Amino acid sequence: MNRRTVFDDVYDVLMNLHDRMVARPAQDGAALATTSTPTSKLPAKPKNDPGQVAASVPGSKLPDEPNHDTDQAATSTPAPNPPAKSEHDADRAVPSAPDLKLPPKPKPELKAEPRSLSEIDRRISLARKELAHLQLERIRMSRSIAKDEKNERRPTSLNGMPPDVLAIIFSFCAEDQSTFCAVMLVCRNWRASTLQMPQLWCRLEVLCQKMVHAKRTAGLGLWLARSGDRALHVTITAGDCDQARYDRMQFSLAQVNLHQHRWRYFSILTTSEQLALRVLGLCAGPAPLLESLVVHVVPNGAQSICPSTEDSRLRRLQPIFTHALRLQSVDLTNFALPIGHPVDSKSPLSQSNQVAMPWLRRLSSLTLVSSMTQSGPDRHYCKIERLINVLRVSPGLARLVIDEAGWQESDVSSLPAVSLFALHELELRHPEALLLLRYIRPITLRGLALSFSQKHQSIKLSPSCSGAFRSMLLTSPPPLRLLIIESVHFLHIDALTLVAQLPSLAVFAMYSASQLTVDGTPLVTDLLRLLANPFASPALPHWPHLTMFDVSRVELPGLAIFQFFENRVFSRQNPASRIEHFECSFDHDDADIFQMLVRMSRNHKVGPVHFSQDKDKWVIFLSVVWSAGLTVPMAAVYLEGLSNFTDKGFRKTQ
Amino acid sequence: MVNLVTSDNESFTVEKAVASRSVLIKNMLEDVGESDQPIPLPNVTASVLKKVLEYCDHHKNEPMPTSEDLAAEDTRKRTTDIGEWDQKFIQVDQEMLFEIILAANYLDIKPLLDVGCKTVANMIKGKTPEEIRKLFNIVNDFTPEEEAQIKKENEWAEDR
Repeated sequence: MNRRTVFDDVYDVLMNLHDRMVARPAQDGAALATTSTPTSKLPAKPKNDPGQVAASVPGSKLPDEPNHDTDQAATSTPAPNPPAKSEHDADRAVPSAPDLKLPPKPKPELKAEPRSLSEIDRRISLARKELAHLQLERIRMSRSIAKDEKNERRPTSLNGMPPDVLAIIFSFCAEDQSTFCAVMLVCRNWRASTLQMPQLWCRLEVLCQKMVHAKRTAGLGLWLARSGDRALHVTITAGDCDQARYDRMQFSLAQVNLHQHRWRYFSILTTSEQLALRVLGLCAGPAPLLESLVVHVVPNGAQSICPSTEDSRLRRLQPIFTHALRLQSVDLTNFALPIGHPVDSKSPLSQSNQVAMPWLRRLSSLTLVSSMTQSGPDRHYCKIERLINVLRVSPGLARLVIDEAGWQESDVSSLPAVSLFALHELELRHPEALLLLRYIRPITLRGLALSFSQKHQSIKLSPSCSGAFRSMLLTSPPPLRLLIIESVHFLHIDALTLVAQLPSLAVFAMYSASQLTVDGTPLVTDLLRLLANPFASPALPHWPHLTMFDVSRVELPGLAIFQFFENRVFSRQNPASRIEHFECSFDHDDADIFQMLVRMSRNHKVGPVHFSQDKDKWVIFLSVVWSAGLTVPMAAVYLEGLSNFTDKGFRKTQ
Repeated sequence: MVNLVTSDNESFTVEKAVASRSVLIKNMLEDVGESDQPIPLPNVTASVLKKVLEYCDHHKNEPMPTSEDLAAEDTRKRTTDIGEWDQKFIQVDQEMLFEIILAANYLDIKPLLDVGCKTVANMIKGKTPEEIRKLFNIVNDFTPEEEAQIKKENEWAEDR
């Protein structure tokens, strides 16, 4: 605004000088006559079109003027239009000398009384130069203002984001406690934002080793207070912990336990079952919001697990579990599963002498890694029997993961099989756990993973265990859509049976090169040949819904793969679903075949086929991106594991 | 087809299925019914809308997040994993990233908003406060005393 005023003032002075020249011809007639030509070029209403004034500057140069003044004025007038003057200014009568309204603080040079026409012209020239300079300045400023306004709309910094967007970003940051701590220290605005969002303070990762000082405990209390009354996600890590250290951190743990009525997720990682029981035993009341419980006991080095007695365990855990009516997911490692308490406390727990804990009835996911209670005396109530009883009283169980050893068929030979109507997903991580397949009827099972680690290779299995899967397939095959077999060498099944008994399979992964059929052919090779059949005989089973085939650790003959691609992947006539993910290894000798395959993939525009060389073998990896009809890549489903099974089928979940 | 007009007066004609990834546009289409009238988007420029439509086109066949999904988000662990295609899509300069986030927020495209916010969160992850300030051009306006106080409060929660 100030610059605009200066501009106006200078313009007024300029025009007043011009008016006075026109109004006083008698004073300096001769001189006026000689100089009237340039000034007469001024427009009749110069205030309405000052641009023309600027444009006429070069013509107004006088011989006695310093050249640099007029030259600069001439070169600095790009003739942009200054703001239009009001109509009454333009039509204003020529003022007399006393009526002149000079600016409050005009430049002395302009204020001084002119003594000759040349002096006046010089001043006009100066004023025009000033005018041109101001015009340029105005243009620059108006552009700058426009740019600032534009920038105001654009958040050049995260601080320009709306609070709700900032809240989403911070919620992702809050998943990692250290990152969240860094966020709070960035600036006041960010800290103020986080303090206004209780949901960001609901996640606690407590490292017990750090909780030995009172001031840290105070910080923990502050954090809990900031979470308001929201449900909490608590993770406690308690490593090596002697009695003295436990005593010091007990106060901190008590702070967490004070809020147990808000626990939604509770996880504890310790090196001994005793410590886990102590921490959980601090809970005095129920955890009515608890949905997920994780207890991982990982012995440190030579430290042995000290399993607690059934009574002491139940006594400590009962306050939590008795009223954990929302508990859906339990994940235990080396921590005995509390399944019930005896009706007659003087007699040992048995199938007839127990009351199942109410939380079992709402369970939807159960993961047990060496976490079944020990068998009772004389094996009167063995581990697998207990598990089967858990399954019997958990009608909503949809996911079961078992890594358990020590099951003997003789223990359970008389048990009737349990029908499981809700179980969609089963993962067995120990060969002996195969025995479970003989005692359950997973009527709606969608995904099965037999995933054994290399250390289990040497385990000698009984025929009952090794034949359990085959037996289930032949007698009551579940409607599997996903099958993962890893390090399993004892299926004793041929490709045709496998395909025929699992007609709905969509994802197949096998990482067992030595899995052979009865005639000594690797099962995977046999399977690929079967699936590559060009369907001359429609009666042959062919997994019409197959979208993923991953045998990446198995070397396959190039010709079989080529036929599979030709007839299954690239074939337009094939009514079967399209393969979205294919992975396997092949021998160097088959390189030509695979180059041909690459060319075919280009022609069919199915997406990238990747080859990589790994020492003595090549790996083919196909990730097909079909142009239409693709909903969720099966590869993504697979990579996220079995936990992505839902009632709606395969679906990638967060 | 739907005609969208950006703030810089550029017109985009897109499939209804693509435009409807935006809840805002979807609702407008439902309210207006069948009409040839262009939909003005005064808060989105052409360059940003082009990117947004690229995302919508790629994901047009995916199911829209239901209210149940959105409600469950609070209870579920929020992962910052981003799909492969989305990762490549969101590899843009910081200004465009912010513009996409703002556009996704305005147009109500929750999955895109999440991808943008996750990307920013991933940029923040693992960095010190000073590195974060430098990255996003933020001035540290804490006094040393305030900074010390916050550090003291968070000492128990800091990285091991």
